Amino acid sequence: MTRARTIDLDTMVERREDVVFSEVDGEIVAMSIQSGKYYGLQEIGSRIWDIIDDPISISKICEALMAEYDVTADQCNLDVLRFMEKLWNKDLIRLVDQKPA
Amino acid sequence: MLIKNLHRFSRYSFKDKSLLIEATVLLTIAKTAVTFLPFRWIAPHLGQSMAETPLSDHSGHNRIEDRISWAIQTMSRYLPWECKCLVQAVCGKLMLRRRRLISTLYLGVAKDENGSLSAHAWLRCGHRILTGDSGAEQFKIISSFGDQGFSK
Repeated sequence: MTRARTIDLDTMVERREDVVFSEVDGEIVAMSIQSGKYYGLQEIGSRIWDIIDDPISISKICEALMAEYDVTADQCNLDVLRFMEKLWNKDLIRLVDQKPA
Repeated sequence: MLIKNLHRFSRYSFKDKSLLIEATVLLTIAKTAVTFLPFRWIAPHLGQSMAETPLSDHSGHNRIEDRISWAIQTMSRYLPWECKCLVQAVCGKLMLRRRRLISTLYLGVAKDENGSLSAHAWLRCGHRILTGDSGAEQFKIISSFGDQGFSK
């Protein structure tokens, strides 16, 4: 389900409390209690999941990744925004100024 | 086939017949809930999220736990619809709760050699795994739902 609101680099995000996760073979697998669905986040996604253990803006996530990976700012911003949008649509994260659903 | 099964059923003790009937009813309820309800409606009824019950058994109850496990696994084979691991685990939890026994339902995930994810559910009561035992050790626990105990 896509939402009316769009997210941008200034958006603050955090993990939802009704999401459980565990590391499985080097990858974070997150399960939404909301939906009962589970997702493998793969390498970069798992790193992002680590980074967002406290509320953080998307631009800060990109900064952290650019320090660790060889990627341009534009590409990183685009990829991270796209990924965070997916996490949001799958009820794995909350946007920080949003009331709990 | 049906006649053979009915004949087999009639030869069980009264207690075992009751258990099989109870398992049938609760497997049906569990199957309906799991199939039609959003998981977030089911989760609160499974116990406290991320909690686990003690490993120790209540002595004297061991036999009923084993019989419950047997009844669920037996009826899962004979019912005309598929009773996958989560359905069996939920049924087990309901049957144990009727007897004021606490249990923990685990959800786990595993990755195969192709990187595909699969999930499994199993139910532990004390140190026994009553449902979903086969292969459970290959799955990494991602969530547990433990009963908080019953008021006396």
